Order: sequence, then structure tokens, then C-alpha cells
Amino acid sequence: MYLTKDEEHMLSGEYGEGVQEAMRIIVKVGELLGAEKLVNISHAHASGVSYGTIGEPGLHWLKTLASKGAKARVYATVNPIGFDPFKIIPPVSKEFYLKQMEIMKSFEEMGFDVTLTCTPYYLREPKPLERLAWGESSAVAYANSVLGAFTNREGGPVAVAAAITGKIYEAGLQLKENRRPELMIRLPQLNDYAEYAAAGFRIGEIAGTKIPYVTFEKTPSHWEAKALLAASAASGGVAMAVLEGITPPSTYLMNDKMEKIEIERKEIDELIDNIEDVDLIYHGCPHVSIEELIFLNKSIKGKVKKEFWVSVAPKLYEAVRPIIRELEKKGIKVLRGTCPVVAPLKEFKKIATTSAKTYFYLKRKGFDVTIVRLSEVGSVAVR
Amino acid sequence: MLCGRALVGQGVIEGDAVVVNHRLSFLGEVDPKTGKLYDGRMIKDKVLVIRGVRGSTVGAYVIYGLRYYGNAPRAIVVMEEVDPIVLSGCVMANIPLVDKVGHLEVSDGERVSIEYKERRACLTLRGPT
Repeated sequence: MYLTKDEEHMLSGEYGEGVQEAMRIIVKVGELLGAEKLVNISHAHASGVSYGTIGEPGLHWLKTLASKGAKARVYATVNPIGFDPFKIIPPVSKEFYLKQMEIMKSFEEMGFDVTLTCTPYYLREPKPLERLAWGESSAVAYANSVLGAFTNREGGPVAVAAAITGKIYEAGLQLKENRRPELMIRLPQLNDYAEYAAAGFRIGEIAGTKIPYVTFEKTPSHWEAKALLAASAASGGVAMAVLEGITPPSTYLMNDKMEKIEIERKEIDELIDNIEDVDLIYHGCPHVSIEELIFLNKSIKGKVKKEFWVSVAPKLYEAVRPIIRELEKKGIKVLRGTCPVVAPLKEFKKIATTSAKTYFYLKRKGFDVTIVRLSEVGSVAVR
Repeated sequence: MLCGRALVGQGVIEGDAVVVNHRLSFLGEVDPKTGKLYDGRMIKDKVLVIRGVRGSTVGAYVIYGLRYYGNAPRAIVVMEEVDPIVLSGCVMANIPLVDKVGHLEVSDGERVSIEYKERRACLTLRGPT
């Protein structure tokens, strides 16, 4: 692989051991993927931040890296953790709490913005063609498909290494020639956030890790597209989809020989239920946008009678305090910096969620979980 | 002699083989705290020979965990191509890694010697010890 002088210096240890270790990871993985050179990135986003996910080894690696003086060279953000650090919901053991705080401290020492969110694009929106190195599958799919930025789906440590070096290998979705849809999927008329999420779940099942070209009866809003993409990245491994009417045309190549597949209305409906008897209602996977908070606040008319969680990026929470206060007055718990996918949930048996991604992961953890329409959440909650 | 890509490691490495004839997911199928595979076989100080890899992005931290808990294998040999997750884990943990060696007829307990030569690493099987 061709390396610039500066990159050579990073690899030989002139910038310290931490940078050297990070550069070794980037170069090795780049060589494996056949990259000819590295490219500069503007933003790295690290997944694998919850102590529940990365455990003692992950903490040790991050601590060691920080102690060797590694610092982020570019804007760098991090994923949610195992609980809301302000309200300590869900409750965790003292040990879990302290270990989680140590992980956050290591990121802070390395100059990361400890954003604790899976939606870093709500804090700083990348522009089309901008190069990123993001972990977190839902954010990767959103960056490529909605914003037209360029990122592969990076593993946790690779995204950390990319932050420290400011570099990533030029391979996969960093190359425009690889940003070409391989199959065309036609969706039926969809009318709800959860219906787009369910459609995304089906898309992931069909496309696997391929790039689908998705056509709509009605172009979804960005937050509906977010629900679709997060689900397709979970049930399949979709890192990018071309969404008709949304994906910036200058960021992909067209393919006129695609197999065409239609998803039928009943395949969406099969995934959605309208059950009343649940002990937790959850919206906010991926973390909510301001539009979703406004929608929820309008559609929930009275005090909720069930445990109801909404999850949000801590910085967004601060920015829209008045509407959060209204939701909290209605009995909704607005959690910052966490979500049920990475939190150690115990006390709930039956969970209803608007997110097909949450549905996918909680089901695998053995929970009884159903998908519910966002427009129906309000009426289920107040009964 | 069978050769593959030298991804991590150098010099000559020797150890007894532990063979997995399917694609291994490090998350869920390897316990870093005990150094054991899902079927109870110990991989600490062995040459772990696997057909291929699959599975979660957290896998890199599991491999690093093998080193952290003192249970790292002497080397990992992959018959097929390895993925970025396992590779990044081996770089972090400094565990020698060779991939693309092709189909390997080897059984548990056989002595395996790996010799690194620039970008290649070649394997010699020395029979059971």
C-alpha cells in the first residue's frame, strides 16, 4: 500500500505508541481489503461503547490507548452506553456503572466528543461525498443512503483507530465504483414510521449485504428512511441503499440490469401488531429526531398508563428542553444516551416498539417483542 | 508445503493444533476468560486452525480478550479468507495470523510449524507429539 510521509511516520511510531497501534490496524485491514492508499476522513464514529458489549477487554484496550497518548485527529463521536447516565435507567450494578464511566473517561481523554448517540448526524450533518469512518450499522446506512457521505461499516476498534489517525483505507464504499445498486426492491404504499421499519426488515432479509435500489409509492421523510435503513442493517447487513428521491445522485452509479423484487403489503402487516397487553412501550431506535418528538407530543393526548421510554441523544435533549418537559409531564421517560439494544434490560417481559431493529435484537435476546405503529403508540399508552 | 498470507507475526512459530472444521464466530463460540471453545477444547498456547470466520463486530474485542486474560493461542490459521474484524482483533492482541492456506488435513494435537517469509507464511505438519 502507498503511504504518504506523514502516514509512514505514524506507522513507525514518531507520533507515539498509541498512534502507531492505530495506524497498524488501519494499514493491515486496508491491505486485506486490497486498498492502494489511505484517505483523510472528517468524522469518525465509534460503536462498541457499552460495558455490556465490550466488557473488560474493550475497556482495557481503550484505557491503554489513552494512556499511550492517542488523541483523535478529527471530529469523533461515540455510540450509546448501557444506561442513561443522568437518571440511571435501566438500573445497573455499581460495578457496571463504574466500568462504564471508565470507558467514557478513556474516550474523553482521547479527545472524543462523548455524544452517546447512534445518530451523530443530528449533531453534525455530513455533506454529500464527505469521507467518514463510522461504526454503528444504522448510522452507516443513513450516512451513505440519505446524506450521500462515504463510509464503510467499520468494526468498533477500526473506527477508534480511524479517529486517532484521521485516516481510513480507500476500499469498498469509499470508492464510487463500488456504490452501485445490485437489485431493485419496490415497496407498497406505506403510512407509518413502523411500516417503513418493517419494510426495512424485509429489505435486509432479501438484500443481505448487497446494495438495494428502493422505490416508493410516496417518498418517506428522513426519519422514516432512518427507521427503514436501521432495520435493513440489522436483519441483513445493508451498509448502503439507493433510496429513490432521497440519495444524492452524484454519490452513486446506476445499474440498468437489476433483478426486480416486489415487497407486498401483507409482508409488512405480518410484522406489525396492535397489542395492548405490554409492560414497556419503546420508541427511539435509532435515537429520535426533533420531528419525532413533535409527532409524539401531538399524538399522545393524556397521561400514559404504561411504562413508556423514548431515547434521544443527550445534546438534542438539551436543545429541545420545552418539548421534553411536556413529554415527561405526560409520564414518558425520555432517556439520554442509551437504548434497550445495548442496555442490560431485565424487568420487562412483553415489549412493544416502533423499531424493527429493536425487535430484531431483543427477540434474539429472548424477549417477547412486537412492532407497533408510531401513530397507534399514543392510544395504546393512555389506555 | 502449504503457504498462506502472513497477516500478523514473524519468524517461526510452533504449537499443537486445535482444529475447527467450520466458520468460527469469536463472539459466542470462544470464551476469552477460560480460553475454551464452545465445545470445551482449550486454545491457550495452541495453533488454532479454523475453516473460516463469521459473526459480530464485537469479535475483535473477544480476540483481544484472549490476550487480556492470558489465554491467547500461539497463532490462528484460517483456511479461507479472514475478515476485517478478526484481523483487527489479532493486530490489537498481537496474535500471529495466517489466512488463505487452502484446505488443510490436520487433526487435534498435531505439531504445526509456521515459518514467515516476507508476505507469506508456510506451514509444516510434524505429526502428533
